[in-house]
Amino acid sequence: MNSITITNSIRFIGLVLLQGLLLKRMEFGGAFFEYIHVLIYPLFIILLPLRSPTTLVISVSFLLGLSVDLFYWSIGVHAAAATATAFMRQGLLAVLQPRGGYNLLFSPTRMRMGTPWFLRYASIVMLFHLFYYFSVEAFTFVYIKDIVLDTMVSFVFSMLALMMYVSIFDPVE
Amino acid sequence: MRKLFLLFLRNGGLLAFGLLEVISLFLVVQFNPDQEKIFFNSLNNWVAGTDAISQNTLDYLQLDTYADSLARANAQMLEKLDNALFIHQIEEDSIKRTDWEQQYVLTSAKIVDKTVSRKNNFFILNRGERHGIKRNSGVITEKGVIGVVVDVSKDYAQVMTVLHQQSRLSVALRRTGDFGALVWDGDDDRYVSLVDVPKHVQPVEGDTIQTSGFSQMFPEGVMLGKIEEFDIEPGSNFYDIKVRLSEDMRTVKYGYVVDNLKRAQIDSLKAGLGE
Repeated sequence: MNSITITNSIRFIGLVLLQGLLLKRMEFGGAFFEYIHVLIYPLFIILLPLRSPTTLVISVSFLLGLSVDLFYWSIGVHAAAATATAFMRQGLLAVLQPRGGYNLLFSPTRMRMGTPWFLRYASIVMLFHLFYYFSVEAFTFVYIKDIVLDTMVSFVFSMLALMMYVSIFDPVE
Repeated sequence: MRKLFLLFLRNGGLLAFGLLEVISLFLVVQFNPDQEKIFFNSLNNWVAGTDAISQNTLDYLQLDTYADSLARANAQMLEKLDNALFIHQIEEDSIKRTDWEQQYVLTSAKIVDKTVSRKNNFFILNRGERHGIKRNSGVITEKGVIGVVVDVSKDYAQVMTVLHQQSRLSVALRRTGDFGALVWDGDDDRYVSLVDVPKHVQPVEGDTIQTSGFSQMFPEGVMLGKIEEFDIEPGSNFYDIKVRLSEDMRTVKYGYVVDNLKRAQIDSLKAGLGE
């Protein structure tokens, strides 16, 4: 097992526990606050190494979502969103490819790719993930207004949490 | 085998995504009561919707049958109207004795072939000798008059429509009771002309034109159309009246063949007069 695998395994466990034990409890009541849901575990999908095969990215993300689901008592909901997000990440990386291509030894981190690039990349993945997650949770587009509101509000707070995490640990890989 | 492997390698991402997404959604429906309810409700709606579509299609395919039975029912009801009955009304010692007897019998028929845009137009009905159709019977609809049967085969009847230059129907103005004849100039299939209405009559635009009951082909009072416009040429003694047909000859699909049960009596009397 090389160091990148170990790093990502630890991140997997860490983010699942952070999400499932801490952030899950940060649910609020009230007119505006009920829309706040902080999801940080998509960061794991965001930070997977660039050279990981698509099949692996998707499979691991499925496991990630399923693990979070165990804490949320919502088997399949996070897994569906994480799987779709992983699939979308692979396409997004191809679109966002900088001139000259990626260094395939790197991971798409802030340290490696620069803050503007990383922010853009992370926000698109996060926005997609949140929208997909809230759609599967509602399971119908009848409540599209609530889905969009949930997505917008949660996006702001999830990105705040994500940036805090990134600035505290500032991972290279 | 190698090809299969390559295919998986190339599209592995999509396959893995599809497979795991389906598994996830299956788990969602399996383990979450809310989503399960939504899923099965939607499924029910969808099935019900599909069911309704197929039912509608079947109904549509059976429309012909329904229309046939409706036309039969209509014929039976039209026969019960006053103008289809022969009335024996005799005053005896100031006791009025009224006796109704069927005079006109209607047979519903489907128009299986038609022309409307020629100078002389004929319809073919799917009723013939076997169904008791006779020559010179009138053909009507609920809305108006179609024409007169001119030829009958075993299963079919040919109708000379009002849109025929030889067609000449005895009609009357419903409001005033004055008579005239309805002819066609071979031009517009929506309009016919009313002739032989004398100068002293005062028609109004919109006056209803109906059958007179004198031809023995139609019951009295079957609507034909309404007066669209009229004028009188200087020096002429008769009006020139344009009548808009109440039945659309282009779209009409069903008609009723009218059989006058008393006709033979009248015809033989007329023959006697002629001699």
